[in-house]
Amino acid sequence: MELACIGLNYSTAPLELREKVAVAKADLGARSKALLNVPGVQESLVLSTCNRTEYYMAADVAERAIEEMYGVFAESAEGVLVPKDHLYTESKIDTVRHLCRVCAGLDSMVLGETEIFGQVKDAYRQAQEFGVTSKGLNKLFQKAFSVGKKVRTHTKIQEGNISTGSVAVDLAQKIFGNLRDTNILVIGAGEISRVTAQSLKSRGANSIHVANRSFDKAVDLAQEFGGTALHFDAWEDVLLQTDVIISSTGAPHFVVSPEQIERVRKQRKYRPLFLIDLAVPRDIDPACNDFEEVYLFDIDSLEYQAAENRASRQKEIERCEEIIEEEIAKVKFLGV
Amino acid sequence: MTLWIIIALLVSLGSTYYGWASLRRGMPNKVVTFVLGIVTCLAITMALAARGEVRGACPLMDVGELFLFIAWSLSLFFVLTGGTYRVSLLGLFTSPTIALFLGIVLVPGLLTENPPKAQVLDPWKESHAATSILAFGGLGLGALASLMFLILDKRLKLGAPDWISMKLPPVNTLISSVSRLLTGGVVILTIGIIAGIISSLESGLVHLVAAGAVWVAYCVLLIWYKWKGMPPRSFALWTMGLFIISCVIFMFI
Repeated sequence: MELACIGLNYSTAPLELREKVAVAKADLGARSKALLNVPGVQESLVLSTCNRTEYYMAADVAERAIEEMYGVFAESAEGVLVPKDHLYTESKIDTVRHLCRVCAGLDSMVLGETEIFGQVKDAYRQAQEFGVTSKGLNKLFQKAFSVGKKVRTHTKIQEGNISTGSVAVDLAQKIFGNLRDTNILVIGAGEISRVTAQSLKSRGANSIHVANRSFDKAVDLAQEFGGTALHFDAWEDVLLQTDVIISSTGAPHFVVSPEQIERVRKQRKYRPLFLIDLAVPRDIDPACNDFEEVYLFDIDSLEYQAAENRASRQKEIERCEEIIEEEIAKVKFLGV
Repeated sequence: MTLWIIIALLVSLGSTYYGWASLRRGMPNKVVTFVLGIVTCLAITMALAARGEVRGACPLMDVGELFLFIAWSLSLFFVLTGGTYRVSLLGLFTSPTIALFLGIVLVPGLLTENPPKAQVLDPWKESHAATSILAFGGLGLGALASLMFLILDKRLKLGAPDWISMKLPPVNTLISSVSRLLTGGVVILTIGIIAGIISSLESGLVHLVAAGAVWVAYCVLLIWYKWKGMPPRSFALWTMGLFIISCVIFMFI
């Protein structure tokens, strides 16, 4: 028997096609079982996420099973023929290498992301429940999990966040440590503010105040986080207890000025204040950063940090590949 | 005694290398850092005990002994307080400082050879000297935590935190550590000054006045910080400045 894999992902197929061949999370096991009807396939497993759908097999002859699977993919695409050039195939040791790369996050759209590891585990669990994996795929997946874990712990492939919202949250933690006691003030109820506030809230931020020119929008966003809505001209009233300000209004002038901060510094006992300016043109006067306890980050500095982290992850790829090669050389796989 | 100093020096150098090399790859192992810290502290304790045996008194009578004692109090404070969340990284700065002080101790001539055995012992004077230097361990560690804060603060203010600043403890953790270390240092210094007053140091009155001035300065800083509040950078700069000034004062009187 030989190992084989066929699939498509974000780099080979457009979203319209990916969503057609995608398999619902609850159907992964049943779909894996259905693949056993393909001639020559002895073990099978379907992995399907928003970015990829892949079929893994242990078959009598890898190449023959892959040929058969082209047709299966076409069937799954709601009658739409999946062009071969959107699909990639791997056989024998390349299947092992590919799955290890997937588990390590090297094959992901967001390099080093961690979610894929859980998704592969989930697909494997479901396949096991349907009894469609045996010696061949069990060994393949267990090895891929251990290699994925090793790559993530021995390299910096998942270090540093690479979206501006997550970078802002990292910086908040760098200033305040635990966010449990931090109070957030959101000025401007736009989407980017919502996402950033949501990240802060998910990491434990204590309270959220939302101020917006349209009070209704402020109420909607505040309700989403269990926070408090404020009229736009009332945000200064909560500045005393605020630790983080996220601002993204469409105002053509500065909304937060050094004078406003100066007024409460003494009462705040010079506690650190983290200002996140996500607006273009900017909402927060850069002069606010001159206060010792104020840390101001605008959209450029957040994006710069995210780009640095992305570059840092890129540098780790070579080391990750080395670990994968070292590890797969240690084990004898089916038909390899 | 020299052997113990060399062991302590080698371990603290090893700890420095281990800490910084590990930081490049990820984070230093907390247990390894503390084991190295404890070994350093024990080795210096053995060196001090041997020196005290020779002196027949608290070994704080020449420049070499002074540096040895400060290295000991730094390592002791680090072992006692460094375990708090992520402040174990303080070892990255403490170990090289201890190594530097131990290196100074080994400079020929700084440790008096065959020192005379003390004929008369004043326990209050001994306590004054020992607790004062011990307090400087806490105050010194506070200065090192301040240095860590200033490195982090600088990068955050520039809007471009680098890999090392992202591994340092958070601003709030560092500043509260500085505050705790200064409080501990001042409490011990208070005991030292009381012991000094009781021993009525006739010959060391200037020294006692200087110690009192240092104590007042630290008290003012702490009370101001806790009562009125102070921007973190100012607090860190004052902490470092006071420590450096105090060290300079005691080197010359």
